[in-house]
Amino acid sequence: MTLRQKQFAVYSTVFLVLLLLFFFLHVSTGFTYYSHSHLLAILLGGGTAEENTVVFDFRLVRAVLAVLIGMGLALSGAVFQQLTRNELAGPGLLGVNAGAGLGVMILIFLTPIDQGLPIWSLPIVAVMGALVAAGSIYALAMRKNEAGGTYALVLSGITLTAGIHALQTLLIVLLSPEKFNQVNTWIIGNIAGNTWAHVLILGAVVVVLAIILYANRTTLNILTLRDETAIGLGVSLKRSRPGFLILAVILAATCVAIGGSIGFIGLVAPHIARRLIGADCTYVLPLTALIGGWLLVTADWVGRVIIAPDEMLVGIVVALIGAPYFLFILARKRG
Amino acid sequence: MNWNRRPWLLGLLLLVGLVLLASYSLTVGARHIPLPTIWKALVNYDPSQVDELLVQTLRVPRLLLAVACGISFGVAGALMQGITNNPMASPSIMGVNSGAALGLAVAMILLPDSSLNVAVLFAFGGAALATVIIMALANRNGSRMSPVFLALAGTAVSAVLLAITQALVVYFDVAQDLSYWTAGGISGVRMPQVLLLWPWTLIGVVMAVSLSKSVTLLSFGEEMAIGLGGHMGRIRFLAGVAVLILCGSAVAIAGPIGFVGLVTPHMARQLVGIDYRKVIPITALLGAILLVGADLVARSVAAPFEIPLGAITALIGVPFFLYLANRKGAR
Repeated sequence: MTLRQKQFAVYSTVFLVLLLLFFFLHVSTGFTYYSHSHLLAILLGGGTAEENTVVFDFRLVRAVLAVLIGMGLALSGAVFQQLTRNELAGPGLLGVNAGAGLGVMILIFLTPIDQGLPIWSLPIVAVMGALVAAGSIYALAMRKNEAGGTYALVLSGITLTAGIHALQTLLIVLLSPEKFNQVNTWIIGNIAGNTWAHVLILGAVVVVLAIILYANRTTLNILTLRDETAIGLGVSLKRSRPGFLILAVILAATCVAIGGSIGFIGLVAPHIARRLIGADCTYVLPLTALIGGWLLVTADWVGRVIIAPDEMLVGIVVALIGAPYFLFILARKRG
Repeated sequence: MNWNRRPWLLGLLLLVGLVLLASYSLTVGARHIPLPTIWKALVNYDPSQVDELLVQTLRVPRLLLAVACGISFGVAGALMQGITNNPMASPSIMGVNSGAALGLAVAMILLPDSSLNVAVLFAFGGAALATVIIMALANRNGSRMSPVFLALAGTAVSAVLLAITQALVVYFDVAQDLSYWTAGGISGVRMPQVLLLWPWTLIGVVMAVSLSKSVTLLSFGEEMAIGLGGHMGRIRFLAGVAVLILCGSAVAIAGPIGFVGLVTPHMARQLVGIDYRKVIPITALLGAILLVGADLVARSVAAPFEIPLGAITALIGVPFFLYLANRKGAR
């Protein structure tokens, strides 16, 4: 084992343990109290029908979704940061949240109130909206200069996002109060109220895309090099950059469609991973996923206990932790 | 035509434009009111006439508020861009609006029955907090604020303040009151609010104009300004106070209206050059025209619904700003 591999083994074990610990805490939190040993027994199949419903259909769904969403957002953030060679990039800055939000809002706007939506419809419109938003921001940023031009990226990201928010505001005015509540909860970010079907959809997307990304980790590494070097190493920039961009947007938008507009995880998790283990995607990608999953399950748990019996929406908790961390990155960067 | 030599003529033209737009805006609404009636309502008010009552109690306050907010946001943006020597500086980008929102939320929670004046003070406090945080971040290690840094720091500070506001709002259950404010724009204002806002606007504008010569010096860059004999610290501080007065009061009453403060100073500098003695008055006029126009659009496009003013200014501001940024990149 090289030093890097040893480090990776240590860090991934630490975060895996943290992830499992907070996952268990998350599942043990709720209206009905079960002792830890009893909860373990229920999880292993020894509970009554009522206990099974509470633990499996409510708590476990939510905890698993939190982990999956955290992983997906973190991984897509890692890809964005590789593509733009910029540690400040993330799904939020590239307009994924805003674009997905607009897609979801248009769908809710067009659907009659009493008509249920098929479960896969939200992810699909979210992905379409996010692709349009991220595609135009990326195109604007890249047109002006080489990849890594922070100025162009930030500028087009912030302005286009503001434009999309303006469109959202326009739509909000036209929404009925019931639909407004639906949209508002979604915008802030809330993982509760989902089912195993959501887990299935999100799980499939996250797992498949994570495998694809990991299989292409060498190309991702090469993309951070200078364009000439990357081409010299046999990577087609014209094909691989848009390809990775689309994968990352699909990943983030699906997460956002199910969990609501959660920010900062995609920015913070890859950043922590890279500080711990260096820049090689072989180690960064798995570690990023673990950190992302741990962060979100923890944030959701904090949201559930901090003002119990009320609940703080997870998006708020994440922003309260993530935004200061973002400021810390900035302060370190010094202009 | 080079307006740089004839700023008075340009100012006069803009003023005429503003008056024309304002008079037209007074006639438009759920009920069309012809100009002669409006004139009569202004000079010889008869409350028993419905039309004149409408003009006096609804349309004129609203117009005056739009003008005051346009002036406030425009001048505040011009001051910020001048003292930071930074084209990205503006109230919404630097988190001032989110700070004011936080202040308002706190006021609604602590003093639910407080008067508007107290709420405005809290909004000042929040706006000041946001500005202080960003300035502190920017001055760390004496590094100069790059436009990107400023924009990112502003976004992040906004996000923090917004999250705190949301948390408070959810916890104390005042979401409805606050969302009324955030989406409210300037519909439904009455004369008392207008009378409350205008003194602040006037104070801010007077401060801005009297500082304008020094701000021009600062906009050349710090070394140059010190070399030419400016007192940097004092000017920055006073300009900061003026920005807070202008933004804090306008945001507190009209809600967050972005992009006016970002766009209008750029337009003014295009027209009259870099001398802030000309830029600030021209920006004030442009801001007023922009907001009166935006309000007109907001009221008439989807009538009887009203579109939030902030959405309109963003939809105008975003393409303009992208165009501006692109042109700069090309140079």
